[in-house]
Amino acid sequence: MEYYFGILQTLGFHVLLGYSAYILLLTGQLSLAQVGFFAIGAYASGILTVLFEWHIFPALFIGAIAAGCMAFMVGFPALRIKGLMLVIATIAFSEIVRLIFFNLRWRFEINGLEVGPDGAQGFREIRYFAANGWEIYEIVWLIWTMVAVATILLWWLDQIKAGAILRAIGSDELAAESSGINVTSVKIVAMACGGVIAGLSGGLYAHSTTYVDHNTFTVLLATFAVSYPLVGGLKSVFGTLAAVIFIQGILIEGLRFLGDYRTILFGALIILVMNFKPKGIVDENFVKGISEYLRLNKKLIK
Amino acid sequence: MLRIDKLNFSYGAIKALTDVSLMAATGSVTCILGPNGAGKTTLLQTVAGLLKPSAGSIQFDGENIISLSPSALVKKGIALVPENRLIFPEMTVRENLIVGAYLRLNKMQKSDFKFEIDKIYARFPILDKRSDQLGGTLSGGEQQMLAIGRALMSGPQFLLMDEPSLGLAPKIIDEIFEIIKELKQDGLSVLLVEQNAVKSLKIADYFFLLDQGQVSYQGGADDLENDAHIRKAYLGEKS
Repeated sequence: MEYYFGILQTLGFHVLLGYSAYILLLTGQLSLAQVGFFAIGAYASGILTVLFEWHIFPALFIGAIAAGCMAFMVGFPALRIKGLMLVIATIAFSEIVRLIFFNLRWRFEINGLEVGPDGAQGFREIRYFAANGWEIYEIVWLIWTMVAVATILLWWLDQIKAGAILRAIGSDELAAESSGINVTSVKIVAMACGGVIAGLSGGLYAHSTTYVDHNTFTVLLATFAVSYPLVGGLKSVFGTLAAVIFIQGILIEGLRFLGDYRTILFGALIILVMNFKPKGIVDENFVKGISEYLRLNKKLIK
Repeated sequence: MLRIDKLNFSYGAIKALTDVSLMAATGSVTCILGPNGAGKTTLLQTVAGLLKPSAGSIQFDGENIISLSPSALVKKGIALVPENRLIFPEMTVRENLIVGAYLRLNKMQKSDFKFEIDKIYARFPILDKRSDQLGGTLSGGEQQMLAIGRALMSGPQFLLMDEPSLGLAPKIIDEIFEIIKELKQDGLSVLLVEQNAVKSLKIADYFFLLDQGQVSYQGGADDLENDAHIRKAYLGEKS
């Protein structure tokens, strides 16, 4: 049972990470900075609960806000560039963040025990959950509540027409601009929202694993983050959710016996999707198919 | 009234517009004719705020609008129907129209919004039929109608139209020009950029000819039709 709860936790962080890339991809921006925001959320909230003995909720909140503020600031210079240059600039940002945490040493004694980030040794003993008697299912419940809230909010975007605005920018900036959309500010807001979601994910991750170090926050994780919405498709937020369950749940966990060959499968999956489903698995036809199927079922029941 | 005064624009070393001055009166259709590369699209994009001119002024109802952003201009009631339509191909017809209403969405009630969209559907019944279809699956003429509908959703007073006849079948072009005529009857002002001189003559009130970035001729429809040089160069008449 522990094992399955562990998988559920992992899926949760990855779904949130995927969402943070999804909202930016809607505006046509491919960002590999999400892992940087994830790291900021992890370290910031970890430091708050460990060194300052905060309660988990305000710590997660501040961690997410810190990542969001960083995303907001990065957004101004970064979103003036496009395409490949943006990809490279965001990789550079994530590496800067990673190296800062690689060198961050901030330790002092709490209750006779020295704790805090210890440079290359990583940040150990983020033991809020254990110290406060949380059961593993409670942690899973917390993570998936956050996932549910994020899913509903992103789904709701499409109901209040904001989704159409974001997609318009992703589709054609000139046309969006001449329709009266202030493209730069919408993109920066999307960047900040993505930062908040990634930061929240990082905070949950740090507390669930009790240990983070710079090795986690590499370009590989950033690649996973953007691959979920790309594989799942940008038609709906549920595409990203499905892609995480498929890639992390089935490809990475389910095929564990294949060892490192799974990485090859991941690469193959990306190539296959790009060739056969360039708009992702949950594309227009898929959505149409499902809604037709549901309608048919309704008729049959009547 | 839209008044452009001594407008200059360059793409690097290439001068696209040189001292262009023109006026577009309220409630009329003003047409800018000219061959490829004359600077027509550049002129229109400058008016729409997408390009910033190096010198000159643009006034709208007496107010200088040259430093305003595209979105501020849409708020002022100046909407662009871009060249090649530039609809959002991955979005449905309805979503395209929603984006057009962007600046008014906050203020609009649900019923107002429905009213506005129904107005567009009444003008373009084909869009109503295609409401849930993706923009990219529409025919050229339907896409042009969608582009016009999207611009109308912002509630403009002044419509800038960049070659709405581009790449369309003659029958569809007639329809599009008929729509422009109707828009004028409904009180909208239109600044139209066209290459199709023959068709434009039937609907526009005043003309400017743009040649290599400069205004080479201006006049009403009658002046234009009676000018021997114009007849030869733009109306394809043999001399």
